[in-house]
Amino acid sequence: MRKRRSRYFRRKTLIGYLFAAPWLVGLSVFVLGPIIATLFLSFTNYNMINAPRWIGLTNYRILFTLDPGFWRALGNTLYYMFGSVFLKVFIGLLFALLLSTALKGMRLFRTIYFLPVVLPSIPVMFLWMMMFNPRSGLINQVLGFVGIRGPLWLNSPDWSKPALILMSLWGIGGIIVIFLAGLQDVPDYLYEAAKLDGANRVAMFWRITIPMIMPVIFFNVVTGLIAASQVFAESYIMTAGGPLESTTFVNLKIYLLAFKDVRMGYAAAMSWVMFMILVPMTILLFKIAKRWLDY
Amino acid sequence: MKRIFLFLLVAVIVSTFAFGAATKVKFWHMYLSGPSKEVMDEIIASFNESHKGVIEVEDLAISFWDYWDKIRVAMAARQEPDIFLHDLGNVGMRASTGILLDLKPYLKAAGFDPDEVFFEGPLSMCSFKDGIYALPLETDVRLLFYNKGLFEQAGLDPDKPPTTWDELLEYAGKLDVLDKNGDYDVIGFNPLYGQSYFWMYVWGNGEDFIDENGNVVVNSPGIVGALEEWVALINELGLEKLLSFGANFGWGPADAFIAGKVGMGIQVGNFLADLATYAPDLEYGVVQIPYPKVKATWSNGFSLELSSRSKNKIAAVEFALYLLSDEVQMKLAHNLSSLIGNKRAAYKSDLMFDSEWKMQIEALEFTKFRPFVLEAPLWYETLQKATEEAVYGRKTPRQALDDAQKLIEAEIKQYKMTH
Repeated sequence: MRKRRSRYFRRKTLIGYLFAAPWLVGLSVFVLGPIIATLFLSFTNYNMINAPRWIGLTNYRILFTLDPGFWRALGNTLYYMFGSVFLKVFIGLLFALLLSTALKGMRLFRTIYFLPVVLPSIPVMFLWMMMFNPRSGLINQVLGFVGIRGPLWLNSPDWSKPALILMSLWGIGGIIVIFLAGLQDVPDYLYEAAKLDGANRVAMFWRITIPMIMPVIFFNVVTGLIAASQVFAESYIMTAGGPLESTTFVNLKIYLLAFKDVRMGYAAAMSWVMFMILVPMTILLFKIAKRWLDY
Repeated sequence: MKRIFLFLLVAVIVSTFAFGAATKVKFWHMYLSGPSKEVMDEIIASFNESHKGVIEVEDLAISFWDYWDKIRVAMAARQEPDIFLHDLGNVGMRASTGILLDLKPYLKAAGFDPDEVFFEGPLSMCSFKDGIYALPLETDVRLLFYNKGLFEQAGLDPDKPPTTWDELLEYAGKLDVLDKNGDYDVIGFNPLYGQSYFWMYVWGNGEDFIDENGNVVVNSPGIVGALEEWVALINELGLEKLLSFGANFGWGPADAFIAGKVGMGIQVGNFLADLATYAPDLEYGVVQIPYPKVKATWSNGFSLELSSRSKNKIAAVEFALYLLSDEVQMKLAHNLSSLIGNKRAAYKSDLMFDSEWKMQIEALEFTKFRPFVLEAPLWYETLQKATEEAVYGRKTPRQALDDAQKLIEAEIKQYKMTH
């Protein structure tokens, strides 16, 4: 009796795995396989013509001692990550609050704010390049009306990263929608009770709304940081990493090393160093989150 | 020597008859559309016709933007075509890996004297160590294009373009037109426009990037002096104004010269084709680029390379030599917008009747290629970044070039550590 049961369950498990198989095969062939391969390649010299040649830790030694460009790229990436995420979360929350108070038009505006997210990214980048045009661009034209001579944006080493951060607001719709859902989950009785106790709106916002949606804020920050760390297409398409390498992010650098310099091994080492920076950072963020959110 | 090649060819022919099928040669190129595609199709068809039953070329046209990744991946998978186009500027990069076939013995066997047939500059880019690892299929030069209409408006004689660097700068000032904000509406000469690069200005000053020991040097006193002048020129014109002017334009139909907003600009020779397509009514002139001390222009191009792993080497060489033959190169010259590597074909009288062609061929005799440095093949990008640092005022020219030299030396050290 027992034996038959276990066979039955074994069969069930097998069928389960069978159904999951396409995904498992895909994950191992197209994701895990390449990840492991890059770990191996990072210890080799590989020019994509001859077989990779083992050189031990040389690539890592070069990265830490002979390549100031990597650290600049890392600095650019962190600047962009934190800049864009905090701006997006702040403005996203602001818009969500405004939308949640105006319940009538909410559906319409929610759709409007979400629309840009579904547009294909490359045409949007070209659109923004036009908007950032120092002379004929919309942004500087508007600034011109109020008497401000706008900066060179993408052509200025100081303004190129802020410009890309500003552009990242384009994709704010997703964050707004998540915030809206979070705001609707805050129970009304908390506000009613606070009102009865004579709390004003500011106090209610800081004491009720913010603590209640903290997990949502945190979710947006973490996913936002991870997504922003992958920034690539913007600099590849719009600025080619310039001016003065001010928009050379780590991913662009890795791509150029791998496919232009054809130093696959070194590019693999760089991606592993980046990985080793991002993984502890994410773990740390979750640790902090636990402290904050468990009360 | 010619006999050996003939013998090999006969061997191929005999073996083909013995086994029945024609030897298939795979050829990858970028002639995807327009007249270049038509002429390449015609050339391949006539080759296949004359080699019927012996050699059959199967070609694949790939767009310029996809080509490089595709050929690289094909090489990594050991599935590269027998014969393919590549970048004439870095043949040594591939030759050093052993993937390219040394063509020297084959050229010799076919009685092809490379020094006699090819232009010196492009040929030198095909050479690596003692071998010849590529053939110069296509090349180009840079020229000064000027807008005759703007010359007239500025009170300059449209038939008297500048001949010296000082004249160029003098004319440039007269051609400038400012709008009400003080920005450039028309710019006389923009050193950041088109194909104008600092390395050419260095050559124009009679300086070089390779020292007597064969090492790459970007911070010699002469180069520092040239960069100081270059930065001073840009500062005088106003970097911010130049950048905001440039941001209004792109390339192709959106080019600033084509829009009639550039008085004089340095462009690659096949810009002539762009002008014909996008601005057929624009009155322009072309001249050799004025220079401070020494005649200078610069070149690059496409090379024809053969895989050393190919199973059909003899047949591939036969096709390669056909593509570089006088007859086929002349056909290409008539239909492509760039120059050809075959000197004998380029000097044929019917081509030389065209004054624009003649001018480019003259430039090809003194042009320079960015020297290839195996240990730091992208050294000129480091130089370009240093130029930008100095232009943006982040570093003094000396400091920027000293730092660039250190970076290039670090790159060379990295190469030696990993090879």
